[in-house]
Amino acid sequence: MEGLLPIMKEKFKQKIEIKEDKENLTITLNVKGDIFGKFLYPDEIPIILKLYGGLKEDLQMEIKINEKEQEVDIILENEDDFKKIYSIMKSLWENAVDMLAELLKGNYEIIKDVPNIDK
Amino acid sequence: MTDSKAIKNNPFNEIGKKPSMKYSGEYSLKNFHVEMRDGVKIAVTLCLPKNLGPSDKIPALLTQTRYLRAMELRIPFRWIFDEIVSTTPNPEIITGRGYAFIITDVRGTGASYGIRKYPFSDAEVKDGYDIVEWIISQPWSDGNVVSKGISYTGTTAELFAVNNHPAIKAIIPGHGFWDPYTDVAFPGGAYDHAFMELWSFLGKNLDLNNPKAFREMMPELWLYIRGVKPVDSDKKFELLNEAVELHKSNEYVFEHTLNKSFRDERLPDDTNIDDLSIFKRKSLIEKSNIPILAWCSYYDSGYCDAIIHRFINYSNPLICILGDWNHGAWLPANQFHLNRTKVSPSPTERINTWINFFDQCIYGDGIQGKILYYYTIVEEAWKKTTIWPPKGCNYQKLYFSDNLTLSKELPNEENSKDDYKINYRSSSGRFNRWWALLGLPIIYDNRAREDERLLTYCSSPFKEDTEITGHIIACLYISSTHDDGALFVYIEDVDEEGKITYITDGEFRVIHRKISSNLPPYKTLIPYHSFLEKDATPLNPGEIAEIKFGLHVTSVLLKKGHRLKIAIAGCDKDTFSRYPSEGRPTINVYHSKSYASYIDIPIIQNDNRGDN
Repeated sequence: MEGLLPIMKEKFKQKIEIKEDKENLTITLNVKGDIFGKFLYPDEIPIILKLYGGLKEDLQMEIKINEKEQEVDIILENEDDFKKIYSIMKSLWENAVDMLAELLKGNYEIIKDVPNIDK
Repeated sequence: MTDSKAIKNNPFNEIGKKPSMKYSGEYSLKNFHVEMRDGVKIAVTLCLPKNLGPSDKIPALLTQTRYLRAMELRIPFRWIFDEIVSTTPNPEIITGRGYAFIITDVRGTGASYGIRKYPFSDAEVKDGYDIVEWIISQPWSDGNVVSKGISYTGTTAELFAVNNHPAIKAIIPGHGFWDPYTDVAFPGGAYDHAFMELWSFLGKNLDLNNPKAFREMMPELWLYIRGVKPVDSDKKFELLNEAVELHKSNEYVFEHTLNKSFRDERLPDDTNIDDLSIFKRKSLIEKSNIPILAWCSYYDSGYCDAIIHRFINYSNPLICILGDWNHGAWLPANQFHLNRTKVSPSPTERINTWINFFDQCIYGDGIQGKILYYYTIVEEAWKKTTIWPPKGCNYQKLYFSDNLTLSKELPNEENSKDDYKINYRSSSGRFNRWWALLGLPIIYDNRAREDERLLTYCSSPFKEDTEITGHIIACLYISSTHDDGALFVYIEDVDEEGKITYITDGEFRVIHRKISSNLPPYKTLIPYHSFLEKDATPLNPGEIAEIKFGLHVTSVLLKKGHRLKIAIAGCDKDTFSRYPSEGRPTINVYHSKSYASYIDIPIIQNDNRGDN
């Protein structure tokens, strides 16, 4: 993974499109091209929001997965939650790469505030 | 390792021919089960060159792991990258250089079926034979199989040779034990509580396919790994769930070793810890005469000593390498250069060297005899030798002396001693050589502060550059207020400005102090303690006892003007069990005419340095 760090951010940017629908409080992720394995497990969006995005609380959200189109709709319950999640989403992949780079350097402090996301 | 001297004798330049790519580096990937002789299904990941022709025949490189043979990534990594093939970041290099790459989950782990009561069981070893039989029956196989690995997979690679299958052509065990009692579980007879507990915690969670263990121990993996990759046909995870259900009956070494002390205490199935070892299977490995390339670092647990034990014990064609990196060589660990961020050789240089070695064993003349490449820290130079200790090695004693000094002169007074009340807050930290087994960085940057808690002795400045290569021996005459205890001896370099840098250390539980007159189970260069229950010799409080033991192997240049410091602790609280479990002993360390405590240092004579 370490050798791929320099290209990761660009790859994520090219691969994943983020759309916002303010009216319907919906954030849509569309992943272009071939992917490896399953597109998305239902529990994964809340996990990555906490893991890479610093989200602390459990927000109510509806997750609609379209496996064939490689698209997921994240539907929030109110405008505040929508704004919060959209703001997190915009830098989520960059954060993931930055966190990985820090962890590979041995800086484990970076994950100390991540809430429990495992079984 | 940027010094130009590091080029000469550098094994990563010398071993094998320059790499050549036979295939593009693109590979196909399949996950499936292979059934063993007893019906247990082993999960296999197979990587083949994508442009492999229908009549092409290639060798196979096998790695058998207990840390998930292939891992399913979290998003977004899964959307970009293929599943990660455990511990090996380079399937494209391996397949590009013309090898099928095969990784298995050993029985009772990952997506494999079966139950494991302890690691490296005979059943696990025999699975290697069955897997070779499967490999050589494949249409792409040229009938040659090699194996490599780091840590657990290094040991499975080494034990692969036990099977004596004619298809097995070479093995590369990296960072693995020789004697699990002394190298990892009970170094010097002291229980490595931290690692044994964490390793069992990791194993249990992995076996139950719960990534939370990674968070504690390998957070860089936890960040992007979701769990084990099921076999391809298992779309609904039914097979994986069945396998995980079986794993709930697994047993873990922490349960079996906690509160134990002796080498001969029983494990399940009437085994003991030696039954898991390499040395007990040495004759079978030698019978195979398979060429071995074994490698490790001075800073890695007791596995550094395992390299020396291989070198002086094996009759197989053998290359050994001792460098200055962390466990698995993902990070630099040279304590004199803690600011370094890049490890040398890089993982890519390393894998290419390993394949050069395999190529030489399959297609070339193989290797003859034995050679040990070792890196001398501070001198920053690679050296090689066909004998160990290396040519020109002479031991020189430094005696403990008055005023907390070390002297070449034998003390001539009676009753000289220093009192030390054990400080149970002392610790070498959580980035020491033992925690390193979890893949952590190795950083002993607290020595000055830590030494304030310890009993220390310091030499006068060295008059010339002095190479220390081998095992330093500590011989302490002590009395104690208690019948049990442990000694932790740190060797440090002190520069002209007083900066203290860790060199090596050793640990010893005093009840094991009897030096056995029996033949050791393998050749060793340090005082032989049996660690058997019958040889346990508690101290008689107040009575002087000799405690003599070897420290972990090192090779370092002590610069002119620097001093050698020895620091003695009675515990290492973040790593080892406490001895005795209750109470706070005071020990007396004697440096008198009759009881002259000393350290014995393997010094390479100046005219031999760098010439071998």
